[in-house]
Amino acid sequence: MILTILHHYLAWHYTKAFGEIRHVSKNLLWFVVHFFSLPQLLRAFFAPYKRMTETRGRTFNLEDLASFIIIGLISRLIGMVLRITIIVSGLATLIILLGLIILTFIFWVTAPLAIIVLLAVGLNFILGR
Amino acid sequence: MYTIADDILRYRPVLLLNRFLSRRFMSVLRTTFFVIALACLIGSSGAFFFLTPELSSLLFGLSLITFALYIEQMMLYSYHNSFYFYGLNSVLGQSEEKLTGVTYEVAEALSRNESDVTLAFVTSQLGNSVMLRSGVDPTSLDTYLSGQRPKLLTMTLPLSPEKLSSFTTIGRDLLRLDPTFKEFFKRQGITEEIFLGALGWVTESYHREKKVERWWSKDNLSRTKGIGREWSYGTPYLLEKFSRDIRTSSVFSTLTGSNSAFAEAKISEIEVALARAKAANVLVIGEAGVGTIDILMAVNRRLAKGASIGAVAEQRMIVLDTTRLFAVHRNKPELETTILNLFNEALEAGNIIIVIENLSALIREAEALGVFIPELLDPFLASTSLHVIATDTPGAYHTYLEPLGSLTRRFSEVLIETPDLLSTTKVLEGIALQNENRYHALFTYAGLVAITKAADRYLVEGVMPDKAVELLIDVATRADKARIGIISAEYVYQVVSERTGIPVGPIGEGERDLLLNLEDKLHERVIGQGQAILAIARTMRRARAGIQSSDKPIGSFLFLGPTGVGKTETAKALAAVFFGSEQNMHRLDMSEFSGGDALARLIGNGQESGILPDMLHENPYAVLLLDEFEKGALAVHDIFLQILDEGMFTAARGEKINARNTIIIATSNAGSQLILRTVEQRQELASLTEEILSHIIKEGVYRPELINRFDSTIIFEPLTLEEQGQVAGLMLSGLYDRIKERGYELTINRDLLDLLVKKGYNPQFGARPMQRVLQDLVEEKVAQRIISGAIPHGGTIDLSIDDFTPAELAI
Repeated sequence: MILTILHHYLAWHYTKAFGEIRHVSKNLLWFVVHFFSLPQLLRAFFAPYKRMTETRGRTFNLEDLASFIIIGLISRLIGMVLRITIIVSGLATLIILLGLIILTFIFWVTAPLAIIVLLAVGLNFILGR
Repeated sequence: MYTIADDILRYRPVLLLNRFLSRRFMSVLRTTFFVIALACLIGSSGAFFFLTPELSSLLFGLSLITFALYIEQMMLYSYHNSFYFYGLNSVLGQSEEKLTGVTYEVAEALSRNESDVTLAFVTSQLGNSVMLRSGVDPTSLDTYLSGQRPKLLTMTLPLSPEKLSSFTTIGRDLLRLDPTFKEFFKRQGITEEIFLGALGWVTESYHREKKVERWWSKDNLSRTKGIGREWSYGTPYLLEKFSRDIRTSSVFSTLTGSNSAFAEAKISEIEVALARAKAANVLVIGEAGVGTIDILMAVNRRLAKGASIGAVAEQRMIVLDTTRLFAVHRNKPELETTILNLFNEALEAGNIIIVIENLSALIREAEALGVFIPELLDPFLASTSLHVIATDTPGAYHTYLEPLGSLTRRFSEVLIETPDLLSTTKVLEGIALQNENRYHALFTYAGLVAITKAADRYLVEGVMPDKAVELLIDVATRADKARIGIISAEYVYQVVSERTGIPVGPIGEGERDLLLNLEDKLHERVIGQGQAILAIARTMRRARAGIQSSDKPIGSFLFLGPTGVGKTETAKALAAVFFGSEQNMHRLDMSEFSGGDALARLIGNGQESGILPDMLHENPYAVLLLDEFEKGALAVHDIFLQILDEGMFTAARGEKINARNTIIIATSNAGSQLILRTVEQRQELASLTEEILSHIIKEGVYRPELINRFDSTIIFEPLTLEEQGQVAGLMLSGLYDRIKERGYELTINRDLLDLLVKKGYNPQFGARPMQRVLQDLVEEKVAQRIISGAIPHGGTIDLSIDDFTPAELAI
């Protein structure tokens, strides 16, 4: 009975399981992109922060124009800084996640062996004191 | 041929594993190993620093071993998950990937007995639940399972190469392939629809629970809101101050759930309207309680999830709290300024959809302060950067919004009709599951269907699904009080009968006798009219047996005949027999509805409600007697065409009025001369019905389409002398009772009685002259005797011909 389970398990472990990991990884990658709103932030990268801008009068006025440009620039700058923070954090998380996914794949391939090794080394530590 | 048995093979090792290590136990083991591994590792490090290397090695070794066991458990759990969740997306309709084979619960159920699929299905955990929800009697089920029956093998059940075989598929297969299974349900009085409904309900709720476990699915992950999105849009501070959470509106959580084609279509209609290039505002019109806000919430969820169409992505809904708006502002300038600022902010924010519940109420309240909302909001409604979703009821829309053409043209109208019965039952499925624990009761699927049907047919106030939900809660509360554990269709009908006073659902013993002997019961009060009573009894039996259409009044009759022959008395008798008391009768004298304002008086005008809607609101379960129907105006006849046909009509305020729980009786003297002539010529009246009807139509009294709408046209014959005697007997028995109440006895000798009958007989006027004769002679004489003190209290008043002078008798 145990052999049946073990045999079936190993067959699954080295075939279908990779597809499952790939599927879960895709979901997690999608989640990071969604959580850090990467497409939205990139699209609106130069947009003023919370649409905070000055309105210009109908007639030309240098003061008006100056405050329009300066406030607009500051607002866009603040927006960019905040967006960069989130984008960078998101990208860093993506890279870490990608690394973890690769590690998971590698670990998965070696997992059955790793269990045996860990058990053997563990026993060696206990018995070889 | 690839069979279910072949596919179960693939699950066998996983099921075997689950037999020894349940999912719960695996989770406990995994956590325990991880905690021990971590504790040992920390302990080992500590021991190393405290210079006890032996203990450190021991703990490190233990840590490695438990860590190995943790990894092993994690791998086993993932292995089990892979099979446990197989096909879940496909079953829930979230994946385009085509999956085939059986689901985990099918393999788990059928692997327990592959040589008897029916037994395995029924005795599995889910199967058991399905049987319970179908309303199957457990003892009968045991007898059926232990009896002789052909057995289906898993290796004979073909596996679909096209689609996934879920628990629902197996249930359907059993109905198709095992005739004894189908027969068993038939014997239990359970229809296929009820079984399949229960099967779908149980399986879907099981899948929903399973879905929650799988946190890594895209659907669950998408519930977390992304950060930084709102930075590109402004913040409507003032609007947020005067807003409230959309979730505080009343909703039915499962209306927009799976398999609700009704909700899907409306959600898409709203999204498309919002995506218009200009004036992309939506006016959602639906009766209160129809689930309007529920549908808006579904749109909001799709927006948050990013699942909606591109043009409206990143928008967010904010519900304007009009109550707070008017509580804070009590004068025109303040209110105008706030509304303008509020909408300006929302416009500048760029991603706001303002939701205004009951737009007409906002307009009217603002109008009271002198603010004309349509004019104020017009520039905002025309803008491309702001969307408004307003809701209102059809009645308020017709009365208040439709006349404001310039406002309504800024909106796309989306009409939310009452959901059909199937969608309503779907809503109830969710509500029932949420409330079963609270009321300590379990709903059968037949119970839910009965609630839906009864709410639709017998509850006239409110709209679906709201009134069905209200009935469900009422039934559950009563069941809890009466300590009834399982709520069946019979119990639901019993509650509805108690609430409405009309007999519904299965026919009980007492009611059966009443229905079978309805003629005798009616004859206790109505003399003669054998043919008429027979026709009424037949119609009423058909109505109660449920053979008649449910979207019509319970019964509708046109009583034709001369005056005083028992038409009104029959109506009263029907009210007493069917609705418990003759007080349950609404009487309309149609001669009062013959003028130009007849229709307005009957169904109301824009400002005042009409007599008929008021009557039906007050008591919807009654006989509606329309006296002298032919005198009603043409427009009044037209509205009755609709009532007789659909059992519903629209009052002037746009409100739908339900008349399906009434027995409509129209009386008429039309053609009575012909009836009298026919009787005088001793012709068979029944054979002349057609002739009388064509005479009435020819005379233009009624249009043929109106006569045809009645269930039955009944001719009341003039009374014979013998019948008049019986009528006199009935009238006198009433007089005896009244005199007895005053403390006297009355006896009338036979000769006097015969004389009274002879004097009171008039075929043209029926029993009415009889009533007058009794009043003028007998009642007058009795009154004289009592007042004169000739009879002591408790004494008997004897009346004979000799007590009357010839002058008195000459009356």
